[in-house]
Amino acid sequence: MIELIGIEKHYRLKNGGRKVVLDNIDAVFPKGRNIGILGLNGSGKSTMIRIIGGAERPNAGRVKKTVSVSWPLGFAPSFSGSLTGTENLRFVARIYDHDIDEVTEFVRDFAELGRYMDEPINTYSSGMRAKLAFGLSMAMDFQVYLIDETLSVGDAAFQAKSKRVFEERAARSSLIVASHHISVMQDYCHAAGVLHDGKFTMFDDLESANEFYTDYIAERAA
Amino acid sequence: MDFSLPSKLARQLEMFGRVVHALVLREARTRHGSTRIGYAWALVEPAIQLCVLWFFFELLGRRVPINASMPAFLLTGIFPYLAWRSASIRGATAVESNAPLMVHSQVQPVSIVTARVLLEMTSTLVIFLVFVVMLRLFGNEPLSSWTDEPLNLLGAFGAMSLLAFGFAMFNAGMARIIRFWPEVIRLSARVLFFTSGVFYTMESLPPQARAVILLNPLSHMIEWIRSAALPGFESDHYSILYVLGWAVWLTFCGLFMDWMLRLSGHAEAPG
Repeated sequence: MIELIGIEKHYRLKNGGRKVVLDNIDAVFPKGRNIGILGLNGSGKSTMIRIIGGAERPNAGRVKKTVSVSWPLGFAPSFSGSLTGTENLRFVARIYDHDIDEVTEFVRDFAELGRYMDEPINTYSSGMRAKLAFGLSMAMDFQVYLIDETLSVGDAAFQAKSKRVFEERAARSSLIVASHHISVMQDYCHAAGVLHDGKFTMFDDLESANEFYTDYIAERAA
Repeated sequence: MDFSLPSKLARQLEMFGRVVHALVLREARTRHGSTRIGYAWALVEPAIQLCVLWFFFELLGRRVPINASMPAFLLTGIFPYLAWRSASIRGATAVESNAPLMVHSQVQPVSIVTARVLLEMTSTLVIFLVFVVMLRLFGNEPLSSWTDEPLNLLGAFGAMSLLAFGFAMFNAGMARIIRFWPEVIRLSARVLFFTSGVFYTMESLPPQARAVILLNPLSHMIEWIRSAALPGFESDHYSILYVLGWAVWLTFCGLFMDWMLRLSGHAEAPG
């Protein structure tokens, strides 16, 4: 289970003011349920995901975790461009105390990058980088995966494979998916919450979440 | 009674060690970019400093102020200075340049700085040893010119590492608060090259100037290392406690800043 208690996050603006991104958020992500975080661009989805993962600290409040949580998958990979794919894997395997050979073997097999595994990352296309990052996170066996924005990495075949792996994992891993559109969640999530004006409202099913979200957008547009 | 470490602390220490180890290996590969010129520069820079200072000594008709050869005298000043400088600058830029790695919650500013200092100290020591061996082979500088009091020299190197860690931690904290801090350090490094006794001894200074120069812990460090390394030199102008005091105080300030920034939820990088 992951519990957010009174999470607050704000950023200082250039003009001296502050923008409140997360305003006193309480939320519970129970074990075994895949949950979506719906919100417009700039609503604080990424910030929330980063705070859950521990990549960023809240200005107030705390996160209680009883499960192992992945780093936020999606954008901004932590790879070093001058290192090869294999070298980057080794670093991550080391800091998570995983067997380097097993991880390398798994990713070699999963990401289908062939000889590129031993080329520097800055020769990769963005799709290849994403495959490497995704394969690596799958090799780590986290109890909760944090996914920022997208699950659609690579071509159709790779996507099918990713989906299959997630389904196999469903028994022991769950997902928290942030996106600005419900469609990303429909394949995977049991429930979703909506992030709006710094507040987070949780719903028991996707339909009610989507209804609330659609109304919220219409209201803003009006 | 259970005298073992509380298991939570033991786990945290184990994880810290693991992360630092991984960071050292990673930094060793990325430290100088992908080219080998960077590694060569690490050897060439002290050589250039040695040659330039040697040249000026000859030009001005000055002699080594103590009973030691020119390279032994100058290198025992150049290397502590370079160790201090690289730890300070690399410390100041540590968090910013590794910010992307902090998506992994176990990678923290303290582990990043520790890894960098370990790497800088090790490579400074290795390059120093390369110089010692080269000077033995091509300059007939006997190994005994460097090993007056081996244990004291080891102690001095340990203190040097602690001082470097203190400066690195302090600068890392300052750079997270003040963006242009690395520039301040680069500038002060230029000044400190002339005010730390790299190419003179404390004894050779007039007392008033000496008192000012000795406020700088690096001056103490260089005197200490020279005293321990060079058979023909013994100084009583340095204080071990002064060096250690600075090391502890800087480390404390650095950790305190880190703690404050963590509590307040400081954002490391825009985005």
